[in-house]
Amino acid sequence: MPLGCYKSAVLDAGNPGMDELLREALGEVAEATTIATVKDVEVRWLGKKGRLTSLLKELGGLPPESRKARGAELNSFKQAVEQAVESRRIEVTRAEADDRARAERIDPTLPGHSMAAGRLHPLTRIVAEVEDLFERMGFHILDYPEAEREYFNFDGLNIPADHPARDTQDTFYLPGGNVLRTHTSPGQVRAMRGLTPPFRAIFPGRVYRCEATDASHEHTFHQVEGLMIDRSVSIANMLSSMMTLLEGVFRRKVEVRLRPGFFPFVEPGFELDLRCMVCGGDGCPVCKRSGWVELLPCGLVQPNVIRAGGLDPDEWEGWAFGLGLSRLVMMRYGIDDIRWLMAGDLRFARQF
Amino acid sequence: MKFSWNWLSDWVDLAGRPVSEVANRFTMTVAELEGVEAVGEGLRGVVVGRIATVGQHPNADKLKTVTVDLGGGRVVSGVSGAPNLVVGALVPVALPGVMLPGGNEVRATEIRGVPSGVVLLSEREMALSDDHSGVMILQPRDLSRRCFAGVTSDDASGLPFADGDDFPADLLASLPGKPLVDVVDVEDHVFEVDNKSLTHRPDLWGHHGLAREIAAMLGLPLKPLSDTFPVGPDAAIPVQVDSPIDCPRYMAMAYAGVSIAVSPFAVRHRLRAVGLRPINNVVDITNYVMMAVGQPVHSFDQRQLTGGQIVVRRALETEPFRLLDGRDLALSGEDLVIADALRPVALAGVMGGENSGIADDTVSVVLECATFNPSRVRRTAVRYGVRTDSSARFEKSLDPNLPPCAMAMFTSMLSAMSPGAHPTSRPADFASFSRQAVHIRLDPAFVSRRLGMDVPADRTRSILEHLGFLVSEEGGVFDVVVPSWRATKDVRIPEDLLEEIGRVIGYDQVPPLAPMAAVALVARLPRREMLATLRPVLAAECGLDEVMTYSFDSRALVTRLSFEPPDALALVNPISADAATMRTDLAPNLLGCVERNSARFPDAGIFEVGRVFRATVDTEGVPKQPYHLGVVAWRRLAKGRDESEALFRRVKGALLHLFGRLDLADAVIEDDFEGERRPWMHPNATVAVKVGATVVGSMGLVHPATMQALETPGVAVLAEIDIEALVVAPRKRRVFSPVPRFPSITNDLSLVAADDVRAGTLAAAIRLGGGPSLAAVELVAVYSGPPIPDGRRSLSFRMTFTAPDRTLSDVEVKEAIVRIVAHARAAGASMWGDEGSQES
Repeated sequence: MPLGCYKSAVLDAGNPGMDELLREALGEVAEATTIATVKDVEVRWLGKKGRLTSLLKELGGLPPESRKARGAELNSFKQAVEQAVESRRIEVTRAEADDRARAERIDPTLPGHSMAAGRLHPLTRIVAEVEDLFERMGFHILDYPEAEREYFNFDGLNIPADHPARDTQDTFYLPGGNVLRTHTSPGQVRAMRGLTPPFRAIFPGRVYRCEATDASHEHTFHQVEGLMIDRSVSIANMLSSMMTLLEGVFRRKVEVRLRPGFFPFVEPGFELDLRCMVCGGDGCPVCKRSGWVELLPCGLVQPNVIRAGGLDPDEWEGWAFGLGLSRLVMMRYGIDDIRWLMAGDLRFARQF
Repeated sequence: MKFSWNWLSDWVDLAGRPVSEVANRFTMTVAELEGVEAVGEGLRGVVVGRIATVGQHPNADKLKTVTVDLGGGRVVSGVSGAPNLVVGALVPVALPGVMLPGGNEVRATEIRGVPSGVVLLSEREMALSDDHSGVMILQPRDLSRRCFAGVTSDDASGLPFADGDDFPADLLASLPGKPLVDVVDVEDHVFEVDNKSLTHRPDLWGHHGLAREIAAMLGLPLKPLSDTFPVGPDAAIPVQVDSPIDCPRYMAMAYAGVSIAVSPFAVRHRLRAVGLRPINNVVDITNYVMMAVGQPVHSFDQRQLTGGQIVVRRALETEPFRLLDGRDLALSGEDLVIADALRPVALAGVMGGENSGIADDTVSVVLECATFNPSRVRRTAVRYGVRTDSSARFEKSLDPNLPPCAMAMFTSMLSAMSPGAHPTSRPADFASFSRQAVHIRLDPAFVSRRLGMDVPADRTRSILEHLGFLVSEEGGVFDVVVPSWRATKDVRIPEDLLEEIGRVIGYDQVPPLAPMAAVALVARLPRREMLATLRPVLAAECGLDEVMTYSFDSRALVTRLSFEPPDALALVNPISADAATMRTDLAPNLLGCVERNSARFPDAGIFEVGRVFRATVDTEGVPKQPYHLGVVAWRRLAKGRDESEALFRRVKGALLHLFGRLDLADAVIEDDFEGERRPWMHPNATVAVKVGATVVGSMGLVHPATMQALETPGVAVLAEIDIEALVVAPRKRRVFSPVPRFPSITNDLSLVAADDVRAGTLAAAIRLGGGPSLAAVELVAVYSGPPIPDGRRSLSFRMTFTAPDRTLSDVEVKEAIVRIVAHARAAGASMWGDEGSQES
């Protein structure tokens, strides 16, 4: 307690008797150890019938010349006691709370309550991530029919009837010249027809192949297609964009390589391989010991496709890519069987 | 498709090149190799021996004693059971200590009392084929080109074999004792490439084309195919081609003096390595030519060609035809056939007929080397499900310049493999195709710009020339002539040339360069924005797990649900009879999820967002396919009204919360559903989901009959919402309302009413009675059971009164409550405690 400063203030007033009195008051304050006893001391000294109050009452009987000095002296005394009481009250309050805290116990090993929140499908999570990534780069996010005109799925993509490439995609046919889209690529032609160039866009969604299912094949899976249309577009541009995409998806530096791949709607066409992230390129079962994992087909948009999109290939160029989202989800979460994705099984759904 | 290192080596010198390096280069510049397989491994210990003597085994009729000359004066003796032992024959042998493929070690033994120190090997014992009919006897044709140092064969097949039966004397003397693998090309590497990767490259469906590609890739010279051959004295077989569009080229030539036999090992070994089954010498040669040149050829038994002529025509409708493999077809007028004077003898480009194939006694042969229309071949192959090595090649658009090369190779090999066979006629050659070259104008600057790196013009030029393109320059722009083998459809435009240049340079040389793009705001699709909010709200805030199910209805499931989907979109070629139509509702598959999950998860809720499909099409002809939201929650074993209502309130609360988060105005979920009913809808517990005046979907208890069909005891609540309707539904703007300045007063009121009096009716009555000072009414408890009489229940409402301009007085509130009670009574409710008076 900073007794010194009060004391000097009182002593300066030049009355040794007050000094003794202050010592007594402050002593009582210091001895109070509960809120109630602090209150008792306060009443005893500063209350209506307190000792200071009675001293103040005597002021009126003093001659005017000493009244002023005596008044100042008593006022200093009052302030000093008030401050001491207040400080003591804070200390005692804190000490009492500390005592209560010392008596209080919980068991921190009790498990946390689980929140009743449901889970999003992992494909929804990946799609949202990819969409967010591309939207940040100024891409339109588009959505096109799953039951699609044969024209958009094939002819418009430079795959005319009887083209052997139609074999590579086991197609579900629908009446009236429609198919279940075998890839998200029909969106390329639709996007060119629907948007004003230059533009860049992605279109994710369900695609279908009429093939038997097993742990790594599904007749229903998810892809995302990307398209950039501008006045001058190069392979170097495409490569840079693909690396940006993959670094965004995998959240790390990636090493990629392009090798020739044939898709009628791109020329040149590529398969983009990713340096295997499991073994770092040394060779492991995941990459079939090649050090590379085939990840996405891409290429420069074939002029016939640009034409089908209603644009002049002498004026507009583009690149396009397709990325298998089902496969990406499986890589991300270590899912060993693609059929989990469409199984509607809560043992699966609740893991995400 | 599989191809062989040794076979490639007929045309490009790969000596000293590591297989893995060539394989890797191929993957990076041509197409991905699926794998590289080593063939003929584990034979390093086998040597060539010359049978010196053959004698009868003293103790066994079927065994022979033999001595084998291993060269350098070394002779070993042994016992053999092989029936084809001939003195002087060169055979592979293994001495004691040699390990054979399959892990058997050769040991010195004694067989029926005679010691045996050598094993004479059959092909099967060396794992080279399944032939175990006798010891393998080497023929001149089997010898590797390494045996002929400095000798170049002029044989059109590229194989360095000697004609006739005999080995040159010097070889016969020098071969014994040499390791087999040094003398015969038993060791090979077989590359496999996915056919899909070569769809666009008709020139890569034979070893010569692949060798050309690899030569260009490695900068090596390529030995050309020969297209000249000896011809016979007779006139060419008459060939009539009805349509040059169907068949731009047809060559045929006749051969006599053929004797059908087994092919030499070397030919069989190569065919087997690339996955073909050896049959007999003539058929093997046709397959060999196809794999070498990339041009399918077909051989007919000349005896079977009635009238000695060939007609290339369309089949008659339903014309009967039996394929070589015995399948009977009724042909279509769209099929192209090869016919004689009377009947079809081959389905053009696909497969020959049983009526004209090579037989064991065939002596004269007609060879066909033709070019057929790719689409026609493909359609026929697809129509009958007969996809052959031949049809796979024709449908890629083959170079019409190949038939003479194929004919040259066939002629040369036939005379070697069937001594005495010779052409008897001149070749027929119907040719009606443009020999005009394809020209492409290529600006070298285009290459640099689109690749994104600087490529000097002379580099471009040299790459193209290596690949067989002819390049000339005029005013800084190249005129590029496409070689015939790339000109059928593969290379047409500058972008195609860009690919040729890029892949040879190597795309790893291209430095990534971020595109320059205009900064512009991209608009968001309203539906996507809605879905982006909807899913996380339903999951994170409403506690529902998201699932995805197939877009097909399960026939078995909808049948169990007694559901006949209206306007269902049927697949032409479903993957199974069970998945033959597209889903019209999300409900059936979600109910299927209930069935599958409820045993393990007795109390849960899920949702799905996805398209449903209609047979009805839009103006573009595309089937209608709106996005729907389906929600289903279930409680296994739940029974009674309370649990049903609790579950119902859970789903209703989720939807109302969702609509609130989507800022949809005036959502109401309590009016009876009056739309088209589905069999799973409960007759009196299904309500319309409305946003404003629009019905956007339905929600209700699942019909007990449905629960029974799903074998799920308990209750489920299902909602299905048309998201397209939500997207266009009116939104409310969020507006701040001033915080009340005066305190509000709350009062609870418990009403008792008959079971069929709805809470909504009572709440409406309370609101009506409460007037403007009643700010809110909330149902806080529902109770039935003692002391409430059967058939009635208690509903407790919490009412909040407030006024914007003053503190309400007790009197005012009391008056309001009196009015409220009056309205509640009018609506059929009584107060707690006055049950008696109500009853009387």
